[in-house]
Amino acid sequence: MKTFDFIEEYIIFEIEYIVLSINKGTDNNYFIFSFIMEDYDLGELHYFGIWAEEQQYLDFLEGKIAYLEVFKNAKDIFRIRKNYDYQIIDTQKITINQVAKDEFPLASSFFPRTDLVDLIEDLKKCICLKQNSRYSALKVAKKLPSIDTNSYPKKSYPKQNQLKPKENYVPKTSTTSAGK
Amino acid sequence: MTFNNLHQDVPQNCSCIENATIIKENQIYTRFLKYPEIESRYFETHWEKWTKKGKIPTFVKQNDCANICLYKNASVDNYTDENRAWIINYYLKQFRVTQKDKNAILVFQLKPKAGLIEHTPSEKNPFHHSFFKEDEFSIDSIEIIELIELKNENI
Repeated sequence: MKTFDFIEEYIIFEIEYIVLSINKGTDNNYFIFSFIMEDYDLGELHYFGIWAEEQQYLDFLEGKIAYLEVFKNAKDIFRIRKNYDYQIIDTQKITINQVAKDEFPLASSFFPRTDLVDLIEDLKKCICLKQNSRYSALKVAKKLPSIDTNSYPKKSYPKQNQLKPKENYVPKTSTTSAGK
Repeated sequence: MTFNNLHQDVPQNCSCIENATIIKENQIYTRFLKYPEIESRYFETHWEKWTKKGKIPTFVKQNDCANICLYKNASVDNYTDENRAWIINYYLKQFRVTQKDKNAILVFQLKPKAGLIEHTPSEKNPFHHSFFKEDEFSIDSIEIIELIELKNENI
């Protein structure tokens, strides 16, 4: 099983589990973990791990391209199984053709503009990245544009009326009574 | 309310609920669901997932109180008219990266005896709350308002 040695991890999204993280390797490369699914029965988390091309990685952080593009152009792709402590159980190198259609990131998987300020602040605090001249994420942070919502892809949300509380609501998938 | 289940396997000097408070009336919360079709998993904690497999998380051996409590609580987010768009977008971030999982947003209220709650904001989520279930907690301890399933057409 291939092992990975990382000296720094930056978590981009984390909801319930780490969804997307960028990891700095010992050889100054960057490795991106992206969540695929939870195997509830086995108690495992499945991830893709990719070595990203430098320009792709930078373009993603700058909001120029979606994660989908980074993923499609990855140098190497691995399917990785982790336990709930994020310890790697198994690693398998795969090709893009072995990725199921419903496992691909969506075309809208852009780095969120709302996280841009947080990222810049985090990167400024990150000594290891400051020391790295070739892949200096700090440089990236400095040249990132000011937050201009017009320069980012438009996103739409569920319609407001979909989110209003409904009285006596019973979920369609429910098998037992709810809302008591 | 009793919290014997919550404090099982927790070091004696570690209390997960010392800063938690009683549940306020009319407060609406959301929770990110991975299994919207199975109610019994709606509020299953990381701790319960581990112990169901007969395993104990690594940090328990290190008596890491903060992490133990993190695994023992169920994450919920405070949901208001003002933060609605932010919350939905926050949950959609995951869906954009990983569409394979069935994801949904549960919108609900907690009944007064459901447990205790603590506002535990993070840098990335100022609305995050830790909910600690009391021993008799069940799906009947909440009032479901809505279940929003995330689909491609929401994006």
